[in-house]
Amino acid sequence: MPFRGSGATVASVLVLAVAVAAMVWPAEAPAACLATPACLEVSFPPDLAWGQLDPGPAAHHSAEQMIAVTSNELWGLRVASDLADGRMTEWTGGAYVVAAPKTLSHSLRWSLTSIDAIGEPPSYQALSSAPGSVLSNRPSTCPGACASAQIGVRYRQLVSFADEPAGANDYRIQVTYDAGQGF
Amino acid sequence: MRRTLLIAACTMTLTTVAASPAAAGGLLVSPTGIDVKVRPGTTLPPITVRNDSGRDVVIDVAAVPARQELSGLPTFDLSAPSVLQGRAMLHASPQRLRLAAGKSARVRVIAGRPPKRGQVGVYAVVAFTARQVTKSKAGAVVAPTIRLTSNLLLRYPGKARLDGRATALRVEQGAKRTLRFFARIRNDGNLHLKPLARLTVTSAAGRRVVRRAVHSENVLPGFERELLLDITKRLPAGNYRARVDARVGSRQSSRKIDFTLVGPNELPTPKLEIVSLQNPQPDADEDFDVALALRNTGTGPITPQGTLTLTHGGRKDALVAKPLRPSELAAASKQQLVIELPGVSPGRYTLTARFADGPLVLAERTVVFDTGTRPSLLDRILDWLAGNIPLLLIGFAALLLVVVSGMLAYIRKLRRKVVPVS
Repeated sequence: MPFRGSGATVASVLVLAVAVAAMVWPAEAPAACLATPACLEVSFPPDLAWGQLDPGPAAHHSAEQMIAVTSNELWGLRVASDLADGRMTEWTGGAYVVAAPKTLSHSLRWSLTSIDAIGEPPSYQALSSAPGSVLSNRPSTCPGACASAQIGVRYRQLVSFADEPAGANDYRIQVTYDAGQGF
Repeated sequence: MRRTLLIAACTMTLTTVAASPAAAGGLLVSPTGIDVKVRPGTTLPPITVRNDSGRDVVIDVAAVPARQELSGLPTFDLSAPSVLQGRAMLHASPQRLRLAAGKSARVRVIAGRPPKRGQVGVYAVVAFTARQVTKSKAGAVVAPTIRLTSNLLLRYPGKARLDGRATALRVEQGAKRTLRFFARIRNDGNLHLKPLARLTVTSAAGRRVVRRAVHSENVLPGFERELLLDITKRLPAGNYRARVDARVGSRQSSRKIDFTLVGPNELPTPKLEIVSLQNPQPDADEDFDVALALRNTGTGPITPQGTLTLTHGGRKDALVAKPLRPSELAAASKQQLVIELPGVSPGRYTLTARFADGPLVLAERTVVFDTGTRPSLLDRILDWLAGNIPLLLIGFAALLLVVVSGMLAYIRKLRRKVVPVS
């Protein structure tokens, strides 16, 4: 009688133990980073669709874009755009317009806004094709088990009344996050 | 009851497990550094690239020559000449690949001839530039791409010359009361090396309070690198001397700095604040002044440099850009600047004061103002009169005095001329 249903209890306890272990253990640990001497993993931030941008003196601020970095060595992160002056340019859906493209008057600006959910005072800089340093000399995220560093970046776009609507096309810019470890 | 617990436990497990790939969800490259002896034609250890994201990924692979920045990170460019130069010294294949979610691939790199005859060390990166295959969204879009690099340190046959020295030492405030020391080491040899360096901190009384080996990292020939050492041991407020002793090849060198702590592991740090930027109300085409008040709310001095820019409406190009060069601001001190700006035509303008240290913006403030239309002559006369009432009153009183005294003199004169009839 005292042992009736003990199988279900043991199973429940086991499953609960697994669940607790899964929560306590770093969930984002990529196994390969533990298995190899030097590795780096970077997540893709989602596409940021501003939708319609209205002109005015107030800048448009994006939601925070999160980039997760896992590295078992010192690492750094840089950001650059594909357009030299960081100004969003008319896009047909497959390529930038070549002949007299419409271009926004102001460069897209970016700022580091958080590291591991701790806010950073924003300091917006214009994007350009020259890489800007988001972070450097960051310590390994694998002191024991690997975990990801969560990096938050926001964008700011000012739209002038002089900026023309893109019509049937859109405005676009490509932003590249370049993660690396030291030599 | 037991069944409920079991279901709850299963749900927790599934939720946690389901969350894990989303948290990592990216592109993995390994190894990120290959340091090997090679000859032309040597195949390097393969580099594995794995797609942990939930979508297919297209990856462009390029091996290009690299330099080293102070933090140790590689710098490189993916311009056509650089890619061509890379192809001449390394052959990476494949150069483009499409990886389905959860799949991995190996990239093979074969060493070519070094760019210069007799060159012992060749440094390059294999850059993996990846984008997810997604449907493009409508409207203004910021499309993200990620790039990961694997560093190549290739040693060709030849005589290695190891030489270098410590060139600088600096200290910075780190998070959570950490002191971050940066020992700058220069490699004057012809091959990368890991210098041996040690940091010693002594108090004003000459007592040694810190002695630690600096974690050694590769420094490329012809470059400088800052080796980082975080000190978490709490040092009380006071004056200190830090010294780094480095051994690079057979050469020993050292650098030292004096620094002050204003609290436990707290360096004096300035913090600039723009207290106010006057919102001007100028008339059109008339020069005007703008007052700017600054305050240093930090614990160290600062000599900030900035710019005051005037732009028309939402335009980007500045109509006027004036340098802002206040004198040194001691901790907890204030300073006011007055800047003269030229007159502008009627319209809406934006005035921005910005102080920066390189790319880091220290303080920024913007005001938007409108200039009125140029007033008529009558309005300007009335404005002038309204602004000079005391002067006008004095003038009027003086005039009245002159008129009254003149009249009195005239009356006296008339009285003398009138001869009484007897």
